[in-house]
Amino acid sequence: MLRYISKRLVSLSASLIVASILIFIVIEIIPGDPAAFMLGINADPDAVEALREQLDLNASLASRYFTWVTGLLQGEFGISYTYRVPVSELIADRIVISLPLTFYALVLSTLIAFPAGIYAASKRNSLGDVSVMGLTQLGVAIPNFWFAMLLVLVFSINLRWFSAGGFPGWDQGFFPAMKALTLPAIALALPQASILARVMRSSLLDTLNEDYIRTARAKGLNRRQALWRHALRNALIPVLTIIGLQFSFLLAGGIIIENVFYLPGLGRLVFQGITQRDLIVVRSVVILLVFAVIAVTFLVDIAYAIADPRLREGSR
Amino acid sequence: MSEQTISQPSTLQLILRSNGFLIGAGLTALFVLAALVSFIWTPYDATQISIADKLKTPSAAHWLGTDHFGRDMLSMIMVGARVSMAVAFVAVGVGILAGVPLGLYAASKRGGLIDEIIMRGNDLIFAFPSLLLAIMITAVFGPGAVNAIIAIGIFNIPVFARLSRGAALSLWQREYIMAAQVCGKSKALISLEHILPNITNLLIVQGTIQFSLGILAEAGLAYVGLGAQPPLPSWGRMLNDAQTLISIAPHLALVPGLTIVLTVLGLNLMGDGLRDLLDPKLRRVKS
Amino acid sequence: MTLLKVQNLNLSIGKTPILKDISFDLEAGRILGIVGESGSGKSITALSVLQLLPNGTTWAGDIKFDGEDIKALSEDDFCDLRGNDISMIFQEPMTALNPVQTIGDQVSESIRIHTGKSRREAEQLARETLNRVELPESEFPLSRYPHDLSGGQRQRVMIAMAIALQPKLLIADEPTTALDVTTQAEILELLEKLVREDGLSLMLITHDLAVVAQMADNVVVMKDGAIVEQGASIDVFSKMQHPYTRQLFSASNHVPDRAPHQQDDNDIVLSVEHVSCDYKLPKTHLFSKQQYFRAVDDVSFEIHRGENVGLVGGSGCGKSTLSRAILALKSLDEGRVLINGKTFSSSGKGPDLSQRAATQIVFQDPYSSFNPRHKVKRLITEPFYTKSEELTDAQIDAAVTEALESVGLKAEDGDKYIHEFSGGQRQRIAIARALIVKPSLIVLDEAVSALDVSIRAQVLDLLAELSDRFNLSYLFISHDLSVVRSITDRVLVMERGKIVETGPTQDVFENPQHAYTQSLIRAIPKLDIEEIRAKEKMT
Repeated sequence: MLRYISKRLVSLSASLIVASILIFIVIEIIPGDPAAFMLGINADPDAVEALREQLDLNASLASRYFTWVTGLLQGEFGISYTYRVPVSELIADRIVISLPLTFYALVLSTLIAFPAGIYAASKRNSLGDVSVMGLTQLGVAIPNFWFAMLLVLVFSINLRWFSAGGFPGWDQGFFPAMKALTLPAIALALPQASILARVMRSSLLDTLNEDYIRTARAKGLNRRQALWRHALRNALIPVLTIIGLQFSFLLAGGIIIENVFYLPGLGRLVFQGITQRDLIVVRSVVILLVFAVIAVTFLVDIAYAIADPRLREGSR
Repeated sequence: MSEQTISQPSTLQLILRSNGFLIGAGLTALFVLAALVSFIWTPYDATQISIADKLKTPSAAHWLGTDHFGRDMLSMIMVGARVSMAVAFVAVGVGILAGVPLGLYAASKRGGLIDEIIMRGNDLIFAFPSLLLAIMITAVFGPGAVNAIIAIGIFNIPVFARLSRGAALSLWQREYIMAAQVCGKSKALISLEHILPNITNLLIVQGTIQFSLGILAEAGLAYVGLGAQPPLPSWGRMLNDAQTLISIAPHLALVPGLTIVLTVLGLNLMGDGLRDLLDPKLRRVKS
Repeated sequence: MTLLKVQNLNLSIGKTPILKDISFDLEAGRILGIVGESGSGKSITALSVLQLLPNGTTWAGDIKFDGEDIKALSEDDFCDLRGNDISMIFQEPMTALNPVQTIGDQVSESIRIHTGKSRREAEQLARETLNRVELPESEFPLSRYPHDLSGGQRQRVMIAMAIALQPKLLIADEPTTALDVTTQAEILELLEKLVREDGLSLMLITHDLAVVAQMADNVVVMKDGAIVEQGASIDVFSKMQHPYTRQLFSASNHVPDRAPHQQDDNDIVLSVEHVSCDYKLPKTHLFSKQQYFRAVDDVSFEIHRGENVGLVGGSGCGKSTLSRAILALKSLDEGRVLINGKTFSSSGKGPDLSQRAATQIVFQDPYSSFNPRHKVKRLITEPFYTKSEELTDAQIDAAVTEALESVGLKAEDGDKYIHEFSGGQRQRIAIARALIVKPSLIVLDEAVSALDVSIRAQVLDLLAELSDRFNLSYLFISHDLSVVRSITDRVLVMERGKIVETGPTQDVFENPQHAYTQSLIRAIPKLDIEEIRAKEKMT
């Protein structure tokens, strides 16, 4: 188990290093002179020079990369050019919205998808199965930001159950904050839940065809027992992969959904960064999100090993 | 021979399945047609601003109504279909053209250094959600449809590389592949002659699914302003425009939204139908 | 006392009739063998006793277990019965166990589901049962997972699950078909011992007449969903009243007619010189030194023109790796391979492509041996790729016709797709593909193992005829020793990567020298009426 974990850790750290180099190249090298790029065409040469100094652009590439990465390791992302404050502060303010939103949506998606998928698989070909599958087919096709707009139209504008957007802040209490995140989380979760439910169903149907299910039935287990005791845990293995991938989709999807609900999260920050050509902000948010995705991949790998003893021992 | 292997699909499911394919193919054909027709004819000029006609609900003159600048929604949807389809199509093409050779090559060198590099590269791209990629590209190059194609296309590469590698790996275990090796054929030739034709079905089905995902992704990028730029109409940006007016003119949001849903639904139904038609495992069950 | 009584069982799946008018009895404490080729309906017969039938199955007739009509039982009653009074073990031990549960959990689950026993008590009984199937605690603690057990060990776990509650009836569906001959003998011995000790009845389903002859008190012979003959083993096998039984029997013991092999010591087709092959083992950690597993260890032998040589050994002995090394599908780590006296491949050097055509191969699985998208003509002309000279269309057509006709098919079959042919016909097409370039040596890698006995006999006849006609040499690789005995002149016995014994087939089989060869030959189930009679007298 330890060997497996350390192996995954090494490989994921390698991914992270390569990812950071890629981001560094795209942001720092491709635009030519980032300082001139950030200040625009009509910038005063003195201002450009000052920014170059501030960005440490006169140093060599390798040393700039090294400075950036060592900064990252200490939680220093640099100073935002437009806000004139450390990017770490900007991110700290926003991440308390984006991350809870992502997890909220992930939990919702799983809570909806598991029962739906298990129900559909256990009642295969019944009217219930066909209806659930039809609904998920629709759910997969709906763009989450449009679904978000419909939710606003129905629950905020017409029913007035929720506010149409904005975020009160966590200091106003847990429940008001969660309430503000509820519509965005539902909008994010439903399309993903549809995908997850479909995967859950087909994975469960595959395992129900396995020989060991027949063995379980020959032992005297009834269909339900065979499904819950033997099929489910085996079926979860491919489902875990999808949950891991969904995290990155939800994180990215959150960036868009934040726009619909005017939530001051990382998404808003990064779009402001783009319009103001604040490459330091963009770069920081991107590397942070990539880090989050890789960290979740690692958690999924561990969950894999817990679910599947064949991986744990690393042999064969 | 366990319980489910020979279980026949119920009549209900068979009907739904074959009808699903027909409905899906019909919807897809409709939107492809709309995109093609838009090149030679649209009811109105999709960029023609006419403030007098603004925010009209659907009527005989404007079948789908007009937007806040008085532009004809049907014309915008038709031209938008062109953009959506082109972006998604090229992105899938990029994914197949780059991903399939990589996957086949990796499978033929199973376990080797190159296989490892290709697969780790895939993992790396999966760590960048396509939106992040688009954000980075846009931050540097400015927004546009080409960026959307690059961002979605790059994300398609590992999808097809993994799919074709996995399928090819299991085919490499087949005895007819070994027989071909005994005949002295090179791995490249075997990949081309024996493996590629036998994974085409899979690629077609996955291609349809990626195409629909591409349309969703393009709409998302356009919605946040990272896709095609004005004055070219696009479904995603129509939704963005509609957002502030949603309480007074809901059709502005409903029309492009439903268009996206129907297009994606059509493609997915068609993909599922194709899978059933092309998958010999399912066909055996039916016969 | 009659434990199981099946009367006039008719069964269909959907609209397809599967079983026709099946009637038989099984006495308590006896062993009933149900024998038949694939598609005979023997497995479905067993599953209908357990009522684990595929969806869409309908049946009529009477099945009485222990005096009770099973039609009267509800599904819940049946769950109580399964694993408690009636147990079943299956053919494929590799997939029949849940990979994510320990063997202890899986065996004790059968116990806990039927008895009110606590976890501790159930585990204790599971432990005792595993000991009974000869999986001792020192090596096989309850906490082991199935994935690192061998096929035979997994089958023992299956047996432990089945007998833990001492059922009245045990159904074994091809329990040893997926196993090596020595493992098969051990498992059959274990089953017989348990049956005698616990006084349970065994319903043994198999395609192997010899296994039935060796084990069963009574036999049911099935063909196409109907019973063609049944009775006490001794009667069935000594009288063989039904022509199908006779046909099965003679096909199982079939020895093809062959001209005696005239050996020219200087005409050597294949020469394997000190060949070794390694496989990389998975690294234990990232920076550890790469470890290797030596699958083939310093093997040398020769095959003369027209000679048929057998290569036998248990699974994992390296015989498949050796065949791939000879065909240059796997690179050699040491030694070299010569074809017709010229070096074909050697360690560190790839194959000499100009000699590719001299060796061809026929594989085991007639279903995965052909690209389903090509027509037969294109499939069997693929080996022409090895030839450097261009052939005219007329030459190709002539070659296709000759190859197809020499394996007993028609020239027109070249325009069909492979799915239009049966398993036996496909194996003929595979032989035609090998034959078309007029090779000196054909490697037959378990080439008849997937075929039913009657088809197998025909294919063996064909192989023998072709060898005589074209003076062809075969390297005949098989786990089935009786087949090897029937068709080869000389035999090589392989164990753990080394050739441990070699000699004329007759000598090796009658007078094996090496301990491993002796154990292999002792394990072969014998289909010998005299022995059956002798056994009958003893009991």
